[in-house]
Amino acid sequence: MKPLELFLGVLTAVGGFVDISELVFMSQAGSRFQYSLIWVIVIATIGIMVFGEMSGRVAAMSRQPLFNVIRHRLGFSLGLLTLVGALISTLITCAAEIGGVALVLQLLSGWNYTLLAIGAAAVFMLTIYLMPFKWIERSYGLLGLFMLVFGAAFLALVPSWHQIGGGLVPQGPPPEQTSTRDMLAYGYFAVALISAIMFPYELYFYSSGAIEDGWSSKDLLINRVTTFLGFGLGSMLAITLVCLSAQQFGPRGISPEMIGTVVLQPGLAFGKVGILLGLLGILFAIGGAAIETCLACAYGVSQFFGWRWGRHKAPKEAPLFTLAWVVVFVLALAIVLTGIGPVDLAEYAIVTSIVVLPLSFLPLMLVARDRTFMRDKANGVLANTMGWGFYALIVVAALAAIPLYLLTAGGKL
Amino acid sequence: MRALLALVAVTALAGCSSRAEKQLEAVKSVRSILAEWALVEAQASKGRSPQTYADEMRQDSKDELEKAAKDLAGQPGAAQLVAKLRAGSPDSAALKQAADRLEPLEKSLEAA
Repeated sequence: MKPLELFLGVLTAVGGFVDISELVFMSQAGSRFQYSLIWVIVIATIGIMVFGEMSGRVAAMSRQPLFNVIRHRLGFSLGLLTLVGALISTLITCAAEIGGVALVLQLLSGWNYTLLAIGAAAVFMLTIYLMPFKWIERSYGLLGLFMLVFGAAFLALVPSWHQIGGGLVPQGPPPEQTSTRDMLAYGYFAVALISAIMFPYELYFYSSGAIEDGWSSKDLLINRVTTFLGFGLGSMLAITLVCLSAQQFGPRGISPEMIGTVVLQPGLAFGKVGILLGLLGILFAIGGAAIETCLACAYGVSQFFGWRWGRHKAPKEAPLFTLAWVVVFVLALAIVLTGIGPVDLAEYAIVTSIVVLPLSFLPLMLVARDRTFMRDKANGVLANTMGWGFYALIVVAALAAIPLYLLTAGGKL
Repeated sequence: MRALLALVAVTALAGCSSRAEKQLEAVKSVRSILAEWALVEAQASKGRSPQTYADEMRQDSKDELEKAAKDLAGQPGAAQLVAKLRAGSPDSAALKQAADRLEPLEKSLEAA
């Protein structure tokens, strides 16, 4: 294992951790409930580490991507239902990311939003068509590290370590927010944060990427370090968004309704440079997520129906896979052009994704613990206990998601 | 007949409740957008934000206010305030003041 490879893998995971849903929900959660939801982020991050590690291990050991496993374990009908749900939620997410990229480009250039959305989708298609998988992953992930300006702003604006530490303890909303409306909104944000961090597309992409990169049992350490360290550090970046919002937006009565508002956080610390770096960080982070979501859809459908797939193959060797990602981008762009804003799309994506999570993670759990399939690399007691614990959590979150969304008007009440 | 009347009454109550909640959602959104816009203006007036960014955020704020204000039809005072702000070029203080003026309305809708 090369240290440089490991280092780049971790940096890529950090840069690619935050997407548009996290930007929106972390900022709104911090603004409304200050530091009291940090513990939810920590728990959800451990959850995505556990399932991410599992999906990478299954891919490395069996060379089976997640949707092969889903079809095999759930059967055709339930597997197809999972696929359709996953495609809908991931397509909406992809549209939200493209819309978000267009908005950021508009804030940088002042050009027309529609033209920028079309241009962004075209650039993403060219990126997938021309660049090898590893370059795509690395370039957007590493450029997404501009997001670290949020971490720098967090340190520059003198964080309230005592309150942040208090947020790590499981709790309800702050004492002055105990009305039924606040309790329901708190529940909604808790579910939304779990969903934003444990987006199913991340696992579809991660496990397919492991196969694209030709992982084997020799790469299990890279898998472990990338998921634990990369996701952990990425999550710390997400927590800084909550803290900055709690500190800077909450007292001003701001619950960010516009993506551009989020960059005022580094702007308050560093002025113009902070705003520009923040915009660049968001641009590459959600640009990378747009590509990941698009490829995740194409991977899912290709793997489920047994088509030849992968960016390591030339387009003519995997024509249906190529057609799939082109169609996904076209559909996502069509959604953007209907005029639904990226923040609204991110909300729909969050709710639909959490509903799909239990169906996506169940077959993964079943395979990862199966010794006939995974031999000596099957789940041990710790991985099984944590896996089923988090599985129970996402089932509860999935059942609560839609009622909470309706009762709180997406956390706005 | 009684059952029908009861159904109509329940539907009407549900409608009222839903309308009140829509108004509350709209007022909360408007107040947040005004606060976001105020911060943009404050940063811009100190020369701490790029010109294009500030211009676009100003326009986005006006567009978002227009969307949110659609549900303020039953609150003419608030709707007029929003329309006036959208038509002009208010500074940070005026925007903060407008957000504060809507606070009693938010509280009363929350209590309803």
